[in-house]
Amino acid sequence: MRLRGRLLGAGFLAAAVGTALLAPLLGLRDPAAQPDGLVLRDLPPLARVDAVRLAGGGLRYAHEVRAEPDGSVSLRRGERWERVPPSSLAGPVPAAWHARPLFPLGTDGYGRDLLSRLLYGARVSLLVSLLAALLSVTVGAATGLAAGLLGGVADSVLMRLADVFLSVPRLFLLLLLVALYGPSLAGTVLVLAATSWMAAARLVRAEILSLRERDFVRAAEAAGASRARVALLHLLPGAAAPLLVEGTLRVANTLLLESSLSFLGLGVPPPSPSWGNLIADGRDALLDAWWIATLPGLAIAATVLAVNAVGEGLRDRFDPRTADKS
Amino acid sequence: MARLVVRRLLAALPILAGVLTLVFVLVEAAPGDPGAILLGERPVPPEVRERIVAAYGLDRPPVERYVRWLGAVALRGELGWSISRGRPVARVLRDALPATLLLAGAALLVHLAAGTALGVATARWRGRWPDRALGVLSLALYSMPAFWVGLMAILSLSLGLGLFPPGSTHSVGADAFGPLERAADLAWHLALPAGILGLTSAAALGRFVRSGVLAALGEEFIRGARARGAGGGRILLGHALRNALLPAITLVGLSLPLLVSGSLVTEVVFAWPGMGRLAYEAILSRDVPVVLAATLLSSLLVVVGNVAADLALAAADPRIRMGRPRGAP
Repeated sequence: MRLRGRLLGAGFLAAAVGTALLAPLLGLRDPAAQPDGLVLRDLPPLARVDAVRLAGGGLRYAHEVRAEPDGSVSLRRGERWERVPPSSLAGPVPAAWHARPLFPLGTDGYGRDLLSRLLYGARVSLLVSLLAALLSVTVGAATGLAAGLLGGVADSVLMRLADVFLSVPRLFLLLLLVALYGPSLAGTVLVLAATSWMAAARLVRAEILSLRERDFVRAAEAAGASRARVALLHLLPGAAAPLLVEGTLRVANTLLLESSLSFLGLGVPPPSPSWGNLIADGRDALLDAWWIATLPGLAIAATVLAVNAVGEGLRDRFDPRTADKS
Repeated sequence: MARLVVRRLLAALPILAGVLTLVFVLVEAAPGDPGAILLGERPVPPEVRERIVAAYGLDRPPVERYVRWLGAVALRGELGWSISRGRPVARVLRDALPATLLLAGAALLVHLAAGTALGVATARWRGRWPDRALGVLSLALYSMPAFWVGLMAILSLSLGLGLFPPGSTHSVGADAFGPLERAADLAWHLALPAGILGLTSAAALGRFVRSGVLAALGEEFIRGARARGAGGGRILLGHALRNALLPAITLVGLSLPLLVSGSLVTEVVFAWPGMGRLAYEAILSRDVPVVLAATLLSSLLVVVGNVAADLALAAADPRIRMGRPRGAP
């Protein structure tokens, strides 16, 4: 049961990262394009619409199409009918000019394709969370290493600093940072990392303190290894496993926070389709188009669940001391 | 016990001073001159701007401003002037605080009740279907963004079924209600936001309680109680849970920042007139003093909550109350 859950999580994650990476090659519609605000507005998932293939290669979407006896085509858009002459059609027989394109996940209020927005959004959200988690673990490890090695005043100051950061509710701190520095993609990564390095710092510091007096470290020092060499080659590897686990779980946590921040309009600035932005788009149309807010939320939940499953699998494998024994 | 209270309160002071310093440094390091941050992008004539900058002491060196600001905030509770609302920030915050305390407090209760129930139930039926079902359910809730769960609840329970109001703290015309009706109306409005905030965060506590109960169930004293003829329910709740709850109090202290953070988005989603929504609206109108003050106040809530959790732990655990380290005989 547990193993199956973890394999499932790893599989889902691999698929999600794969599709996110390959999104431009999948032949999706442009996630930012608004080809037809009238006909394509708020289409539910699995919707198909009528369209006319034009001679130039484009599509003309319509609510209703009708072949006329003279070879031209009439199409209704809203209340109005318009006529496309035979010369503008891609071909004479209905099979040549008639198209019924599919919108697998529907569209939003601007007629943008939600499937491509969701997949391109995965690129944004996953990239931001991965980078922020990586940065957070790096900063935390460096801080914890410094605190554990230097000891004394430096240790107290750094650890009190961690206490201070832990005392400010993160979303408020994030809000303040965004208020002061303005929203941007790089800024989102930075502030997410700046508010989450504390756990890694505590973890590395504790590991350093417990390793520092061990015989193998003493031996390395006696053999003439420099402090930096001891720290990086002998002490830090001891903290690698818990750091890996912390980093993985941090990705899940950051994904949730990024979505909150973007939902509030303070994270990744639109038009980048991060998942939080997509939910924010859907909030205003909750009653008319429930799928716009629902689908990206499901994507977030599934990804967070998968990342957490993988993180726990890693913990049981590499860091059995803290593993849940039940 | 009194000495412990004083000691814990004193230990919290450096943290609060640190939060104040952190906020000051962040504001100082922000791009743009302080006058611009204060005034936002409003068109103000240069001489007026200069007067305002001088009136706020913004032309003084940073250290002097830091000391003065610290004195104003910490000693006199002066938090500045809210430009977007035209009122002192302290007053604006005071109006919003009760709503946040109510929401976060109710959410904390839900969090505790749900987390404990989850932990006991999954431990009681360990490995059987209730354990698995509840485990999956709580993990799924834990993985969803709270604001999105809020939106889905509004969509299905409020707009769809009409069971709960989709937002705000009271019905239209609630002023005419009697006190009892009013309380009921408030509870009805509180149910969704507090319930969601408490439930989405309950999984961590549930897991903790579960492993605590399972560990306690393997102890000698449980066998002793069983030998004396205590029933299963009494053993589970009276003996195992009691022992598992002690360490859980510390965890509750740690999850306070999460609840306060979560209340921010929840307030925005449910149009709940608390501190979080205030801070959010302040950001949209570039009213930095309000955001700053809300950040400080939310940290104060967390620090005070942590002290309270520590004291509760001390009150519940004689080993700590008597000043002996935990685990000592």
